[in-house]
Amino acid sequence: MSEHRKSSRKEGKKDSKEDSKKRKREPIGSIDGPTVGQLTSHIANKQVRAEQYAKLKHKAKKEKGAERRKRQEEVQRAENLGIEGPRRKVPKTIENTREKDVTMIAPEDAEVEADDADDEFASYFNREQAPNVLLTTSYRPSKLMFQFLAEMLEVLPCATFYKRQGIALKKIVKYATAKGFTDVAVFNEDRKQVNGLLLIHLPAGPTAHFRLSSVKLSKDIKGHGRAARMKPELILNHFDTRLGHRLGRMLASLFHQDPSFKSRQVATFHNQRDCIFFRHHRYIFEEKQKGKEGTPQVVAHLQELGPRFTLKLQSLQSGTFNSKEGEFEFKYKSKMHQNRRRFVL
Amino acid sequence: MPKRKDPVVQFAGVPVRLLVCDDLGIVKGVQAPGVHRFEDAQVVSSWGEPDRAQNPAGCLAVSDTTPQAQGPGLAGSFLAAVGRTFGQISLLDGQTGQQQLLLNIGSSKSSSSNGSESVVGLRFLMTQACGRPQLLSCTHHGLVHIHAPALGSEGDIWEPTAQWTVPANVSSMEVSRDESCMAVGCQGSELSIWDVKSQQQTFLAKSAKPNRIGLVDPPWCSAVAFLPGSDNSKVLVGTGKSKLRLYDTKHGRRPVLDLTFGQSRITSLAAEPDGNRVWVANAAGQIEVLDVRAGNMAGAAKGASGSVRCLALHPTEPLLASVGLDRFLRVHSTVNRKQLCAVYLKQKLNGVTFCPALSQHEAAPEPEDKVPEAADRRKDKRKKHSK
Repeated sequence: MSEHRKSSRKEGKKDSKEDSKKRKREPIGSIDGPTVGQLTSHIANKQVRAEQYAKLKHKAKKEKGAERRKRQEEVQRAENLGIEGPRRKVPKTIENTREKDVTMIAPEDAEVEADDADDEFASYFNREQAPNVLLTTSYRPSKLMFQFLAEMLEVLPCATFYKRQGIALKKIVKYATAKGFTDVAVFNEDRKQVNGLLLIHLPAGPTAHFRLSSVKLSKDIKGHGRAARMKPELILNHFDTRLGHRLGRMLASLFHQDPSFKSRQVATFHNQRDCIFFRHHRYIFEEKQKGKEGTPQVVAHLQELGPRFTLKLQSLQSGTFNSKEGEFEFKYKSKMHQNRRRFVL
Repeated sequence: MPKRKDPVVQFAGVPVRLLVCDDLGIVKGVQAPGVHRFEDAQVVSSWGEPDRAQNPAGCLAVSDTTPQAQGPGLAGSFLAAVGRTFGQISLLDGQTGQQQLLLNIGSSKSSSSNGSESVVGLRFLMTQACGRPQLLSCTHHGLVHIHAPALGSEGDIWEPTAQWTVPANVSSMEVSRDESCMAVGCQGSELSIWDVKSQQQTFLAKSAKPNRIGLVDPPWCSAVAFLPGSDNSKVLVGTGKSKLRLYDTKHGRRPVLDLTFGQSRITSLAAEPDGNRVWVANAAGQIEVLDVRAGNMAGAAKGASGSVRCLALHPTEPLLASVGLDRFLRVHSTVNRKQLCAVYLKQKLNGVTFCPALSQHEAAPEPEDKVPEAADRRKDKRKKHSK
């Protein structure tokens, strides 16, 4: 037994020597090579391992620094000469290494355009219809919900709040359709936390169900402003797949569509890794004179208004709310995100 | 450059083609080079203009509603019938996609009422008339027609040969394999079975027995399927309330099997040719197989993320095709339930069907023959060795 151990130890040392030889050829800690920990983890003796680790780590750090300085010099030199410098390194992130999605919308896809031309939101995008949103809550909302809704009403100037009063959703849908509303938004609350949003487009659907999290009211945002009662501009980021495109159209149809209108407030839906981040800002472009005889410069100022929250799509159902008999265009399944580089939106 | 050396090329010479119809009225053909090569499946044809929005005639809003059926028809090719809203059926040539004629089965009176005249079920009948295909169609309103090519014409004029009414609000229709019976599932009334020849109702089902507190689901048969090999006596029904019911017409009017599948509406059923297993799909994107003899679910075909609108089984090979609202055509193996391919077809898909083998008379049997030959050779070798 002991012999076996000894032999393995010897082999280990041998390996480390070989490794050190290899290291001279390629820098340690480069993205593709093994890490210092991986290089030393086979050494059984802790003291030897620690020494080796420290040595290698120091070396790796030095190499990295040298490389960086070299790159910076190259960039500087290129800048001085006015030529194109070395290509900037792009870090690998989960977004830019995401699994390829075949449903990603190509620009000017005739079939997608044909579908969009006559879908449920087409009348809104053709500006035949203005958005008119009915805002309501789950049963027995708390004070927190009302604070949140007060801010949502500032985000959506076209929304009207109705007390829920224990009325069933299907009845609300019927009522809202008859009254000419274009959408019903129902915020859900559980244990004094706003945690869900059900968005029903009228009169024929679709219905989107979101999990709502990370709610921050404007009073909790540092340096926040007060929203003025004006239509916000809209930014939709990264709704690129077919499902995302449809969802983006659905969210866009909550806001006024007017190509030439000017506002100072902006509502943003930013999709990143299937989480839709909502932010509400105010901005201004200011002309500032630098010094006494400098040319005036345009400076942008941005102030957050709130609320902030994050949406996560649970299901998209065609037709108005009917969770038992309705047909789902998309339904979140627990194993959908087994691969963390696969996204649906 | 070929991707890999494919050892099964010789087994899979017959291309498999599927037809898929979608929400915009486009009929697409998807073809795989062989049964074992579904990873190379791709769209080979796209027929029709997307005309949900711009309608050249100006009087109809056209969109597909039902799966199309087809059979080997005139002049060696086959026909594809596409049911549309407002009671229209277009008959297409199965290979070129040329529209041969448009059948109008909707009554002009109710054409204003939206969607009630949509075609729910279509099926070509082959056995009854000698060599000439007949087309059985059923509208949501409950109008059943049988159309046949007019005598003396070359298939360009079709005339209704029979017409009768079944209960309204039809949500599913199925014709038995020998084309003698038709099962109709409605919303608001229980399953009824009709004799195609005499156009008489032969069976009217009763709902399952009331539960402990005396409640019965409102009737809604959203999918029906005859079990092959049961002499048209066994019919499986999927309901809008996520129940699967097996009726045996020889065994009374109540179901002999009643079980719950998932929590959504059951949208489609596909019975395997031996009649022992039935594939079931629902509106939440679950596809599972029901073992009829054991009376329980025996495995799932995974992949769909949205409602499955239609299932289709290959007549001879162990292949299951499914389409639905997630805009993908998926083909699974019915043996190991693995997904063989998923083709993105851009629109919400309503119907899918396998085409009959493209060149039945020439190419089809050859590669199949090769397999047993090879096996025989192997056996011979073994024999030699043993000798």
